[in-house]
Amino acid sequence: MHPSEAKLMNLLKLAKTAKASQLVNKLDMNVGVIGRVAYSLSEKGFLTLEKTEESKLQLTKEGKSVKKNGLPERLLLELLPQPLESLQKDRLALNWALKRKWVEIKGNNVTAVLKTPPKTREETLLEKFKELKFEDPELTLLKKRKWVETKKTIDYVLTLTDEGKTTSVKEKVTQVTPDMLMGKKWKTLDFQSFSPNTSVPNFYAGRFHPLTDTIEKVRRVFLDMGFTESEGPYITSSFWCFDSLFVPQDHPAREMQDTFYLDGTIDLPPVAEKVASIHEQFWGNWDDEESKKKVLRTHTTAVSAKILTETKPPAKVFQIGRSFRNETVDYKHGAEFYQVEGIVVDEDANFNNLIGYLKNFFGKLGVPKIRIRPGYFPYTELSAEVDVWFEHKKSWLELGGAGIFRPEVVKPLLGEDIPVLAWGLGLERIAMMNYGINDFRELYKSNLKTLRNRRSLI
Amino acid sequence: MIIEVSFEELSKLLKTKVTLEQVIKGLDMLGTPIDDVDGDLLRVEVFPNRIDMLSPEGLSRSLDGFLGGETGYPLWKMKPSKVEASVSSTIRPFVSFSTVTGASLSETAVQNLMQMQEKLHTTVGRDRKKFSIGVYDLDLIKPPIVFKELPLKEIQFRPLDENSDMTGKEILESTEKGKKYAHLVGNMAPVLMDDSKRILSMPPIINADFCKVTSNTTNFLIDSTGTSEGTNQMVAIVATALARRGGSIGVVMPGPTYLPRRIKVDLKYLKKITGLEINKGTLGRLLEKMRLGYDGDILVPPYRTDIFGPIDIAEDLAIAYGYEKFEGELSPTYSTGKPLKSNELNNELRKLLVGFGFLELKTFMLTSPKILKLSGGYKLKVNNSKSREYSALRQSILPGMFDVLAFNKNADYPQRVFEVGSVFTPDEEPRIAGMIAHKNSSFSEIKSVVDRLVSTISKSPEWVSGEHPFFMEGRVAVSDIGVYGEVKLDISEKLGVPISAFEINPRKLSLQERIL
Repeated sequence: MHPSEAKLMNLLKLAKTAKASQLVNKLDMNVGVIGRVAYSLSEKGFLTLEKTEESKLQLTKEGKSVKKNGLPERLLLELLPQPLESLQKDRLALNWALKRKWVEIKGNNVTAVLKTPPKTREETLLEKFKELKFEDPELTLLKKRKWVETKKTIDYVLTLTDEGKTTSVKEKVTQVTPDMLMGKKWKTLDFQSFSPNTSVPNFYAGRFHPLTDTIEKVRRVFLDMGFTESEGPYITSSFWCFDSLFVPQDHPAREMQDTFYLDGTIDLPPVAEKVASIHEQFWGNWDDEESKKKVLRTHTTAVSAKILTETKPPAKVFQIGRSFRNETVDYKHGAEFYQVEGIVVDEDANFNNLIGYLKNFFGKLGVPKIRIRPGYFPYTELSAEVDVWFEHKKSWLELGGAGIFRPEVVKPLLGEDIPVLAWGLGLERIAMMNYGINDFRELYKSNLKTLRNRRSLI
Repeated sequence: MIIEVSFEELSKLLKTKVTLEQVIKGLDMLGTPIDDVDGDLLRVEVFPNRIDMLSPEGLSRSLDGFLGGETGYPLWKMKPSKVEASVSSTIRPFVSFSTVTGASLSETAVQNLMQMQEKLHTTVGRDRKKFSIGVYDLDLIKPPIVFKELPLKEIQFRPLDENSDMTGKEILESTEKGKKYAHLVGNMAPVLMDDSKRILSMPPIINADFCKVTSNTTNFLIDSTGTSEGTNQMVAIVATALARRGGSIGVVMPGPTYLPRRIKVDLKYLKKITGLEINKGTLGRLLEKMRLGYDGDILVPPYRTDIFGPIDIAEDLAIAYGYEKFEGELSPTYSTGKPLKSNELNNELRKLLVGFGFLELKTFMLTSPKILKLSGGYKLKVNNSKSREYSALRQSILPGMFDVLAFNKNADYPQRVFEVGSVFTPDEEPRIAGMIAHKNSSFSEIKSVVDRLVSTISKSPEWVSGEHPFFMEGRVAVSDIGVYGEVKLDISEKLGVPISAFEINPRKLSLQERIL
């Protein structure tokens, strides 16, 4: 016998018959649970179970408040006289007071006709509420004003059967205790058996965020391919974010609606002089102040540009980090998102190698089918877009960009014009594909239930 | 930028018959991908490097080469123009003209011409500041033409789509275009006039109505004015597009001469950078697919604004060869992978906390000042955010984490969460923060976690009692690496459950280095 069944049987053996509601305290179970335990015992033939339903009148929250504080229309009288428009809030009370002819409206003024009107039926009813009977016709007065409600209570009458009276109740052990393990005491005990279908509390593991899992996957691919990991600051200058990357100073991408600007400036590095002369050569203008502006980096390429000034070829470098765009956040855009970027600085590298790296990289990531087509970025020439094939949509979807940095970018930063292959992609897109998520925002929602229950991917 | 082109219109302009599939694949592989197909309507994405393809005429010219209908340097009829122009403006010092005669345009073609003009204005034209373009019915104008500046009050004409004459001042004050572009002129505005002193336009604001282009127009005057060099190219883009409608181009000075630009490129360089094994014959054939000429030198048509030097020729070569045909090969330089130490440390901390049963969160560094109010505001804000939700940079991970717990009130307890990230104090600094919420959460519980976490990875610092805006007085420990303790009750009361938390700077840990 289950321990709660045993407890209930022991109680009933004393009383023979009892209401479930009377046993609540003794059993530390609510009426519903007692009902379920009793039902299981009735199945075994130890008791009979009779469900009872009782309806009871009770005051609503508002009803209680009126009983305590007084009738709204009576309370209104204390406020008068008042101009009509200041009584908007008390509209209901005013209507009742008017109906009872306690007040009148003269012009725009509400004045009291009676100072202390006689006690109303409603008030009397509320006072002797406990004595009222269901069928009392006057109750409608209170019901109309939503001051009373009927509440149903369910109870069970439990009565031991003859079999129940004679059966021996032996409580089975649920939890084994150290005490039971001493001196072979356990040999004298019966143990409750458990079914695998028993419902148990949830157990939750500590887990990485799906984006961390995705980052680690991408990191491993890069490290396997012989790349060195790097990073750079989120706050940088327009110089690194745009100017060093051959983005003209009047380019629309630099405008306020796309880039987050911060107060203050960042000093230009020595290489800025060379970059400035390229800008002057191509577009005939350059402004140091524009270049010094402090921004939240709009792409990790800002870091790659800086890496070029510190690199001795040949080099293969990657970074995975957040970037920022002043976007209106929706299902495919975030104001903050992860970018993945790899560069290969190598005298002997060419476009065919870039294609080779892309095929290798996306292949290792597990992207089944990619297409590389011409693209455009201000800082690359040749430029490419990488599409991934979506079988269920039967269409290509843009996944990332790639290219060879323009000589106008490389020469000032690196000191010589040698090929720099580069490619990048949004990390969230990879995570969304992997976890079957359609909305970018889902990844940053921090919904514990989702994070705890998500399926691991191997 | 996206342009809309009818497939039927495009097919009529092409020299060979092609299917919709061929056009889609062709445009994709030319670098002007199809964004969407809606019946007969193609939405084509044109990047700023190929502004010559902002019209069906330009698209068809490139597609003809790429699909083989007509290759090589594009030819157009040239006819001497009788139009003469004199020019003087300081507001828009760069001015170019051309004429095109004998072209015929359908209603759709006129629409497309306007679309091209508008796209050029908003993009390379930098919203008309840098360049603007005008096209006029030449037959309604009496040359020679004059481009000069006049005081606003002396300017009087009937602007496009208006019912009556207006002064320059009225145009700036009461027309839609006038209000939008008034900042580009001053008390003086540039105007284009013909020999009978009629004003043709007030660049870059608006044209006159009397000489507007309709489907009846066959002879055209094109102008571009601006504040920067490049007006010749703008005019050439429009004129060569109209030439594809059967027109003859007439040279007007100042304006483009329509002679090809010659670029010398070393075959060896092209082979090295593309990785293609080709000879001069193949090179010529491939470049001609891109509508470039090749006679030993490379001949670049006047509408190509994107070709500066050899690397740009290399890209055209690779596109002509076909990106999809490159086999791909890894570069032979050997190297080994090397991770960042800081990320290795972060991962170690992550693993430990996951082992302790903590669930990792990732939240934004950009957040709202409202959330950061808890930590006494923010140290760093962005000046121009589109949304208050993302207008300040966090200086602690904890305020956002309180928010996460509040949002997850219905999730099972105990809740143990952590995040590894950066904060701005205002300097960028790494942080690792964690939080425990459940009915028995306490100072001693969080102390057990922090002690174990720190001592596993570092020498333990000296923790002392202190004060902190998030933590209860008398239940908070601080050190040079961070803080932990029981969260203030006016914060946890909102969740109805006790919370304990920590936040430390992993960079401050004194780590044990690996020997091997």
